[in-house]
Amino acid sequence: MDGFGSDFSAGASGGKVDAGQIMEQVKVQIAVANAQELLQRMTDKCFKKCIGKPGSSLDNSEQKCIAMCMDRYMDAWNTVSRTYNSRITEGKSSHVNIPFVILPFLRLPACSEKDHTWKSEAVYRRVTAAAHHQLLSLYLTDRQSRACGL
Amino acid sequence: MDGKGAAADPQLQHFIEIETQKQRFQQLVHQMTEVCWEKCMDKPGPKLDSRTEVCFVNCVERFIDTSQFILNRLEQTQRSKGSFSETMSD
Repeated sequence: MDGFGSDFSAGASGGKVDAGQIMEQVKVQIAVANAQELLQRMTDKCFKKCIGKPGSSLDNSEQKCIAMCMDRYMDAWNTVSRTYNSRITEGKSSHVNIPFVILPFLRLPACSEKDHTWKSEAVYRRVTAAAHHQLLSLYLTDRQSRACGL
Repeated sequence: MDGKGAAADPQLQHFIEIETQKQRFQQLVHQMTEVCWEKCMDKPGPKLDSRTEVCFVNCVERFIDTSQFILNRLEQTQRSKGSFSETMSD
């Protein structure tokens, strides 16, 4: 393969470092994607709540409203997360399947693949097409997957 | 060296399964927060008052109940469709 920092010729340990790096990369990418999602929805909601007729700049009251709105949106997000988490952990059986049904109806940012920037080409290539597509095709809807050429 | 690539690594496979499951959860939380915000939040105040919080909790619970209801009803209609040609009776 190519010389990417880590020592792949180190025998048994080389393979482990490889997988670990991939996992870290993926975790970071996922965290970034989640933050973007949250920000996008928060911006949308707070704009709707706080901006009436758009002026030539954001006045003080609008700024204060947006600041409060951001905090309340985070509170709401945490409440929803907590409630949903306790609901699916209490009644394990069918709730875990629900996302499969609801997933087609979720609106996601179009074509996230463009936004994925891997720290290194070598790490990206380590994650084979199958593994990468599997992760992305579950993250995007079928419709969006097709649109992104996955 | 792992010539087959990442897909053959069981540790990585397991990791991907876990992460995608986590992602499904996250996506649902994003979606429910958005939907419930529309239903429960009037004007954002300095803190989340208890009435609004209760509304969010109820919203999530009812959302899950709704999707469960839909699944069950769909299953029923599929089952009955096998024997009769009629669909919804109401």
